[in-house]
Amino acid sequence: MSTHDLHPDDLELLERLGAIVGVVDPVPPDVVQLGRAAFALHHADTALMTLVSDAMAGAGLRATDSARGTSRLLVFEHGPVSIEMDVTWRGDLGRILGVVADASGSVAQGGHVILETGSVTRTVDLEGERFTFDRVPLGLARIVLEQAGERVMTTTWFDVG
Amino acid sequence: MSTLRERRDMHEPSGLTELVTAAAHGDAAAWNAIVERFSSLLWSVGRAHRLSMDDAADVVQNTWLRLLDNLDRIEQPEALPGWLATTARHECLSLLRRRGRDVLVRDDDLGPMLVDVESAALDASLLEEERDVQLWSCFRRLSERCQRLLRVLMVCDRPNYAEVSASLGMPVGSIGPTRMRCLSTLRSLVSDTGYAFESGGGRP
Repeated sequence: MSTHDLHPDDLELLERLGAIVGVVDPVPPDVVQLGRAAFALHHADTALMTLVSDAMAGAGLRATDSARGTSRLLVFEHGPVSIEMDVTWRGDLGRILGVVADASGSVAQGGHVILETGSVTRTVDLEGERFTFDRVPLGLARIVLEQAGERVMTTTWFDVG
Repeated sequence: MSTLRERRDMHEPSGLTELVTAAAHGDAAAWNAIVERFSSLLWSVGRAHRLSMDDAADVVQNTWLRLLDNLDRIEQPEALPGWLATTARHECLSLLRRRGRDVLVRDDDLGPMLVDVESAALDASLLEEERDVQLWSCFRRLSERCQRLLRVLMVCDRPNYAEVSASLGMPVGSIGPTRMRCLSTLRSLVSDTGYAFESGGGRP
């Protein structure tokens, strides 16, 4: 018997424990429902910008104290468009300062920038090449570039905090 | 809840390939099937890292969001369980880092631990059979490392140690020996209760 094989008694014991977990700590139905609903956030027609650089400012300082602010510099790209973001956080909130570079001139000009997190969606105008989002909840977030009401590009999900 | 044997069939690679391809092309039903199939794995990874229910829920949801980003890029759908487990573990560690908590478990940390009496009583109140109460009580006395490993083993395919390794950050080679020691400790604790859990077991 290889070490990967479970003795039938061990298998039965694990199944019994699994059944107990199903009673004392089952996956909450709303967790599964949220997972299903997440599919609404999938926009197959929107170009996905990929993360090409992720640098922690002051690397070597560990964020063990939640009151200590720290930051990361993220760069996303897709074709002629890139977004450089300074993501800072202190306590339970973060701030995103971004600069959009668009060599084509067709994506960013006159467009909007949308911040999406698990709990909030906010839209701001692109001011020149820059945008700012304050009081961003810690956790996953992504940035969407919108042009004439259409989602043109989106970053992958990234960590704030 | 499906059994380990049933789940072995559910993880058939061919089924996964079709589901991932369909979901990548916008098939919500296929996505729902993936979510329903693997939510218990992701939940177990979060809870195995001793996260609260709210935090474990965040880990599950974040893992789904990461998968959405990668649906079009998954070249080996049969490796999806391992990818999900790895991603969920990274989400756990990321969340613990944000909370200022660290996860430190020594390789030899397999000894019994003290149990939160109030929490154990709450669990016991949900279980109908006394021998399940005893078994769960013994499980809760296992070391954190053992509880993590067995917790993930409960929802993984029997031979898929890559999945377990990805979930817990344990070398594949140490899973078998650790599992054997953990189950041996559990059986020792169980034997002290006077209950038996072998086939057809009950009170001896």
